[in-house]
Amino acid sequence: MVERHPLSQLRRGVLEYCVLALLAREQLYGFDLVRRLSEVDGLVTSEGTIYPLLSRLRRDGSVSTSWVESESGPPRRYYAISASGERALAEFVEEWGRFRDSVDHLIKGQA
Amino acid sequence: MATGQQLIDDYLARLERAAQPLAAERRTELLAEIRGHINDARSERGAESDAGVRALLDRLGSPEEIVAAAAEGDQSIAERAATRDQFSGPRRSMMLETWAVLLLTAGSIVLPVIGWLIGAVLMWSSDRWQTREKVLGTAVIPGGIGLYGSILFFASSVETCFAASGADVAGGSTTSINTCDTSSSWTDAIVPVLYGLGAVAALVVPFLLLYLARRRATAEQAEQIVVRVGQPVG
Repeated sequence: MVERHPLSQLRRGVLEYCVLALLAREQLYGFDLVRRLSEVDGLVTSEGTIYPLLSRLRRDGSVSTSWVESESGPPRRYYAISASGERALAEFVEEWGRFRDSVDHLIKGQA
Repeated sequence: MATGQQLIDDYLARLERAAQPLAAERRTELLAEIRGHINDARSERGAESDAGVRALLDRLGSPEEIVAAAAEGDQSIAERAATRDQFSGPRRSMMLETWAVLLLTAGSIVLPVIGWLIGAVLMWSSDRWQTREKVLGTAVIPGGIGLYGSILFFASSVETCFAASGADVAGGSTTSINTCDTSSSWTDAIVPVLYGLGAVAALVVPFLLLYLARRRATAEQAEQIVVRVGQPVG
């Protein structure tokens, strides 16, 4: 697939940890989660692609899902972070800090 | 309004066609999630107008893009899903939940302790109940029977105790005999009430739990039926 935007590859790699970071605070259902991610500037370009990501996180055990009754309409599938998801997130947070500092350092050094 | 709905129908039909290469289980899940998203977005963002629906679908991205994200590095998963379909069928029955409730209720009488234990394990392994519902099921269903037993035991032991102390001061104090009488009339009044409450809870909770599990199973099935009915279009 051709990547048009210079950051799209990076964005895709980081997105799943943003999902885990949101779920580390509270359980969310699909639309609510997507809405919160979309509110952050420049993170999500196509909202629909978050659902396959959620499905993958569920299958690899980083998140768990449960049905919750809603006042209107059918029950909703809620997503929650699992213990292994929390470990993956903690690991990422540490690496990300180092990575961001290194990139900043290089970019500023070049200028 | 009708055009907005038409746009959504077209979008979902396109998504379904694009999703054909995905394993059945994944396709079902993806379609249900996108459908749910569109419904939620329409009610929460108030996107009822033609333009509103268009903007909503734009934000979702193209169906092909979404399916590409779903198909990424998923070969092994598609194979696993296919094998699972072969063995258990894509639709899960209510077997687990029905047995859980049966064993917790009738099972705990037929097979004391063991029946209840198996029922509790089954109940906790189902994903169709929330944790608090499982706690309720575990605590109240045997509680309705257990509560009765313990109250009767408590009541009779209190009575015996007072009767015994009355016997100890044999021939003597009327006060202790009075205490005994008061206590037994107090328990006489409260035991049937508590017993009644326990029995009602023990009767209502199993039905409530089965009702909730059935609602969620129906929601799961509805997702699948929607996909099946839609399939000839693609």
